Amino acid sequence: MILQDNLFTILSQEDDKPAFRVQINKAWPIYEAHFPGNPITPGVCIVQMVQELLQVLLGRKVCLKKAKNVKYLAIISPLEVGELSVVFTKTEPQPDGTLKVQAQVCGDETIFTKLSLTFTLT
Amino acid sequence: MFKKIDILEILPQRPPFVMVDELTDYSDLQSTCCLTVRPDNVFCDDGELAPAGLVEHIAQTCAARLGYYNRFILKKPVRLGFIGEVKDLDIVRLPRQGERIDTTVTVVQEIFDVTLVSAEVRSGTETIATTNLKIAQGSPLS
Repeated sequence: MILQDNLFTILSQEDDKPAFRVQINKAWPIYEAHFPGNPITPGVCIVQMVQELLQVLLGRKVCLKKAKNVKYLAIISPLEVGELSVVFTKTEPQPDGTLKVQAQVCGDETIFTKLSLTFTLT
Repeated sequence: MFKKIDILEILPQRPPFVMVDELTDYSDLQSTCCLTVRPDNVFCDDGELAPAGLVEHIAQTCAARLGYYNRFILKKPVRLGFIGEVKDLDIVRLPRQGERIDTTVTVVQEIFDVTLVSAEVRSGTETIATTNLKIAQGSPLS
């Protein structure tokens, strides 16, 4: 399942820092299953959205290997949240060839998710 | 003690977003669910279950445990559940299409509506992923 252009659409990519503005698609069919009558963005899909945006940033495929932590500080309801900023605060290549990444998913006044992840480059 | 039930009776999620096939073991502090990765699974990409699908499968193993408890022990409705935190996730490898995985979650701490578990995903005797999860329970399903 590719989430870009299904769950989210990229509105813009910033020039001066690794960050994206995305729009959430309320009509995404998975919202009817998670949960019926109570649409909530699945936490695991936020991780995958970050992975897909990292691929756009790097211009290559990556795969999640480890998560030191992912903190869900607030729920992302498509009824209340239209746009999100996804900011990569750190992307650090490791000696073993993996990539350590820190990112935040934010609204205008809220931090929704903080992620500290390790990816393999494929 | 433990009876076999339709997974949809104890999960708040609905197809195509159901990532466990069956609750195969339930006790107070430990539960196990299985999943066979089918080609029509929404998280099945390039013949493998994507990392997001694997973590969702672990989270739904927690959801099945909580759902069984709410439904059959408390005799109350199933409640919505959310991942509060993923900690120390380590994916050794992704499950392949057609492969059956068995995931055991062990309760580390349970305070009101928040449960901390450690989880292990196995294929046969091989451990393919481990993590700690914090799951928060929300409102009952109406």
